[in-house]
Amino acid sequence: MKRFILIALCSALAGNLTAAPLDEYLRHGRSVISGYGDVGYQKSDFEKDTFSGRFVPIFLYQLNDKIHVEAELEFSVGPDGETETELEYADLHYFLADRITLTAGKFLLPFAQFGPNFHPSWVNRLPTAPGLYGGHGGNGLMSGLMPVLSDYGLAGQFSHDFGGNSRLFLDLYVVNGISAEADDHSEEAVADEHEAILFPELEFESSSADNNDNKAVGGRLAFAFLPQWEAGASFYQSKYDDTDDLDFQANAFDINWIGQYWSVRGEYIRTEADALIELEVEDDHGDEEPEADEHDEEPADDGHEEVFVQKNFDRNGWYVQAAWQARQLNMDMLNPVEFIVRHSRTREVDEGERWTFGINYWMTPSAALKLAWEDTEMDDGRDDTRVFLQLSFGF
Amino acid sequence: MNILFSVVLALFVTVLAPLSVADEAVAEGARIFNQNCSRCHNARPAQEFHQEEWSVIVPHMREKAHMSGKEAKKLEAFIAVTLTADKVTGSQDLPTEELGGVALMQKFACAGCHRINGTGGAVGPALKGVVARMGREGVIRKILEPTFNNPSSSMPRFPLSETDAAALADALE
Ligand code: HEC
Ligand code: HEC
Repeated sequence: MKRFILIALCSALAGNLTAAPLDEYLRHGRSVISGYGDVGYQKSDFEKDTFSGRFVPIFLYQLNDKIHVEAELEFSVGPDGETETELEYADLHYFLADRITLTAGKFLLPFAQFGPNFHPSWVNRLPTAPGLYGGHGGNGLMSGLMPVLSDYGLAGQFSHDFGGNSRLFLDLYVVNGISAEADDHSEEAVADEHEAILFPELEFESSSADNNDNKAVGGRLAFAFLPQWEAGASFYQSKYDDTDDLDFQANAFDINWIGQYWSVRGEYIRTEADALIELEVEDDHGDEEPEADEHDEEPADDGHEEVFVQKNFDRNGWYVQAAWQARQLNMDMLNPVEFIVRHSRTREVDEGERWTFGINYWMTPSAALKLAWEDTEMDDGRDDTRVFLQLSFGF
Repeated sequence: MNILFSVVLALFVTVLAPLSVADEAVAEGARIFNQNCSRCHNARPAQEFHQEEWSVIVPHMREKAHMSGKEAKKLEAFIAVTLTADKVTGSQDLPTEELGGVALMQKFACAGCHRINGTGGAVGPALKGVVARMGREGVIRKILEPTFNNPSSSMPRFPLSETDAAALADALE
């Protein structure tokens, strides 16, 4: 009997120990300030050459084992000299189970890879964003496809371990969604005199107040064979006008192939946006786009009739980027040197292609001096060549 | 007699279990580091942050990398063992010079990042023939000061003495 008690005690102790020791062995912190920043110089044919920079602190808090808070602020100075501040994300993760995480707040949308994972300047191998992510890093002539990178809402993350190196990643989210930018009636695209429809300069933004009852939904499903392969498919769907009539949809495929000295990454994004097209109507309605359905009619001030038709803009674009570390050559001098090439293409609206060549000198694993040359040729004949020099650092 | 045996067993479990559980976690953690930590960005060497800071960063990366909670804890154990900071504060029981090269390699999970004798990770290069390639002195220097020939090295600076490094170089020969 005594022996039984002892053994029971002993195994209870052992049981306790197998659970506890790792935790005892580890030390717990409460908060960390990390982040990134960059200083850059850019020279182009069109604009005056400029220096610019950003400071992007990240605040991380561990409230307990299950609750983790994170926020990222971006500080920069705009061309007008005003200091610009942007809340990139501010959210709370709740680690519900070993492989289930819930997120609430403003978070980076798990749509493709560049937005959530590669955009910080020390992570991005080049000083610019790929052509299809216009607006996030100086994109010259190319306009971006995915309008927002982060938004307010709720997300769930699930993963499955198939054993070995195979994993399944699933992210699903509900967010406010995009709206056409305030004081901008840009959902009304204009048709030029030949009725060739110009792309509606849809400027989207996300905010903490939804402009309609419809919430945007999205997600990403990926399969990974760690550490070398990851392929994912993403979707995103939002209504963006006040009356829930106009729809924006995006889909993406991404692929990542990571080796010891190189990485190859690619993304394809396709978006479809409804837009109202204003037609200059004279007397006859004969020339109207036959497939467009008539949406609205309002008499304009001058008595002249303005007719809007709803049309669907289907756009797509992709990029492929390869990076190679000269460390492979086993020459001390070249150990910190890396070469990168990226090809981007945008189609249907604002068509064009772009080549970017870069060379990086890594001073630490998260600080690099990057030099890049970027050449953009739009199908309508415009072209642009830029040179970038950037010092980027993650801290 | 049996009771005595049980007592000894209980003591044995109490004293040794924490070590072995942690050691196992370190080896697993090294594998997890290799699987995840250079997928999106260059791997970051452990000495950049204190252990307390890593305990906050790891959950941040757990979410990014879609790691499980168990994986995150093991990763933390691996990072903890490589930290120089702990040698300075002396609060953690770290390598003893009596450990031979092979044991040190196990303790610090070199194989988490390097292929050694046919198995291991790929964050760093395979270590086969490295002594012939770099020279014994070169290997010792690399172990003590990983950035000497590569400022962007993500190899952690381990809390190792020169004797330890020499033992490791011998074991790699
Ligand atoms: C899916 C992409 C991804 C993976 C995988 C990943 N990271 Fe990160 N990591 C990032 C991004 C993006 C940042 C920049 C911070 C941000 O934007 O929130 C970052 C930042 C960091 C930082 C800077 C401190 C901080 O939290 O901001 C450290 C240290 C770090 N990662 C370590 C790791 C380690 C260790 C692993 C292996 C478990 C890892 N990372 C795996 C994407 C990733
Ligand atoms: C966290 C990952 C990591 C761990 C753990 C690690 N290393 Fe490294 N090691 C690297 C990386 C990355 C490189 C190559 C980059 C560089 O430093 O030039 C490297 C390079 C080396 C080199 C030079 C190899 C060459 O061909 O140039 C030696 C020798 C070495 N490591 C030994 C060790 C030993 C011994 C251990 C264990 C005590 C160890 N490493 C643990 C990441 C690691």
